[in-house]
Amino acid sequence: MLSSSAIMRTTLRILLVIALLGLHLSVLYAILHPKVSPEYKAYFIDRTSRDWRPQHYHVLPQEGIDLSREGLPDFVDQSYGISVRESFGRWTDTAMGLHAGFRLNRSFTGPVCLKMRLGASRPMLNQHVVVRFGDQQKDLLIDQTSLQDYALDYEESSPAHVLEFVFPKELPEASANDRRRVGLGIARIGIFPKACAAVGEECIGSACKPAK
Amino acid sequence: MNQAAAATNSQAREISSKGWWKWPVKEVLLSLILVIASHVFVVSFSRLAQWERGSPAHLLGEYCQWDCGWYAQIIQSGYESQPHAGGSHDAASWHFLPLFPLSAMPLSRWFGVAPGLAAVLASKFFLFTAILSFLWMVRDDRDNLSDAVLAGTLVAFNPYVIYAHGGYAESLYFTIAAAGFAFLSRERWVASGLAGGLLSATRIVGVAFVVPYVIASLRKYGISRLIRAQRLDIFVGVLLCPAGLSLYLLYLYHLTGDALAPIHSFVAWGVTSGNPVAIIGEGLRHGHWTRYWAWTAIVGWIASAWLAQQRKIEMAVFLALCILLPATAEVGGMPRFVWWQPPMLYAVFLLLKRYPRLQMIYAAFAGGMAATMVFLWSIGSNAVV
Repeated sequence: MLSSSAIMRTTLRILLVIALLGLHLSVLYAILHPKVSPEYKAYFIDRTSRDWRPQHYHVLPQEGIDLSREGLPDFVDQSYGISVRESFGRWTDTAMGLHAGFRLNRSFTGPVCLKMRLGASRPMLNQHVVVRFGDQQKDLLIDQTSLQDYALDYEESSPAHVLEFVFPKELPEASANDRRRVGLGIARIGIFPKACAAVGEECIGSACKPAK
Repeated sequence: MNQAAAATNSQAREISSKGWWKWPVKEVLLSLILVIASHVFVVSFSRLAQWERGSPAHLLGEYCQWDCGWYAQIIQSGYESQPHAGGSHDAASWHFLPLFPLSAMPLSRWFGVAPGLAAVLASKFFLFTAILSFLWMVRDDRDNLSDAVLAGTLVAFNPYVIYAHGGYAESLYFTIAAAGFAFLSRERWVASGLAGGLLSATRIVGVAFVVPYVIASLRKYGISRLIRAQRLDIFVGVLLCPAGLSLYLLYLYHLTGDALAPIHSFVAWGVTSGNPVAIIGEGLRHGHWTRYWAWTAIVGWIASAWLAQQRKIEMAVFLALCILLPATAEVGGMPRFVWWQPPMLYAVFLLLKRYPRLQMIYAAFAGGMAATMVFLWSIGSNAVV
């Protein structure tokens, strides 16, 4: 026969077990359902972005996303898969994922010309990379490690607001001291709302050459 | 000689059996003396550093550096809902767990002490409780007063004692961990679980206490007897172990929307998780401080293996886990994870007790390291952060 104090003690312990189980289950739920902004998720949780609350500067899309400059243009919401800024611009980094690019806060339809100043890392030299703009994509062969200008034409039937490079596989680490898996060095990307042939002299850089 | 030693031991046991209060009084006095000695040691070597640099002596509050600055910020204004510190505005204080700043908060809020000084004073106070707690933890292994002095001195003149004078959570963590193991060895399951809960609210690695707790209960009862005997107190204890961290994570979920913010916020420090063996190996290759930190982790694991060999499985596993968890990220700061663990100092205590001739060698090592760390701390070196 249990004494009343023993019953009380057992009841208290059962209640404590239930309360503590409830606490830990609540934490499990909270861990699985974060309530954060996409920027926070990309930067802190998924670690696919190196831009946390970047400063935004005002330029037109055709003036380009200048990655040697601090911050991002005001028409870019967020970057992903792109490493930190260096003097020339920024490297894509497949350690953050096979997709590297920009989410834009405005969309583009109809003919669009992308004029890009890019250079390949050694592992990406003479390799194809997919350049996707909206639901259209083009193959691009990067044949120089130094920065060169490339141009790609798109015809957007539906509003496009994502511009990204898709790498076929994860690239090797840059060096023993640099754990990044760099692919393309991006200096600048200009977005022109017309065909590249009509852009003409509006090329960024000294010379534009057609994509191979 | 042996007869004399036996006589001393029996005398000590006699004193112990005469009145339980006599030893706690002696332990309190011993802890107090050692804390004062430790304080004088740190202030003296810090003064030497200031002479060398020709700058005025540190005021107590100025010992608050590096992580203490984060604790001071939490004491002053709590946790932030969005990261905003640092050059990239992405740093936050979330991985500095709340129990230490909470314990220093009354000093600041009620008595108007500056937050940094409050953290420093709190860490010094917890050095006192850490010594007391460790003395209690090793009580069954102590034969006489000189054993108590040895045990207390190991804490008060820890090679990294600077953290107990610099406004860090280490001394509070050590206090609770030692109490947790003391309760565990005495089969005070709920109290031990409660200590585990507090430990998990002090530093993230504290959550690992649940493992030695489970091992101890399984060693005692075995899984089938544990279920048959319906030991609810053990289940309560197990669930209490991570409760401090769980409460904090729920609070952060409410504040930031991200329950794992303490882990995710490491991105601001460029810390990512990886293979601990590769990280230690890389540390060994790098040389200088990085190599030393990597070696510290290895020495900690050796101590853990030795404890396991001594059948102190709970402590061995806890020490190994507390080194393994940070080693999945980096080796920087490793000395804190090794030297401010009760199992590590317990291993040293057992060794020095068994081989007294090693005491002089250890004293030279610990004193030299402690003095060097105080010196480096005082000149603002990031070799000790």
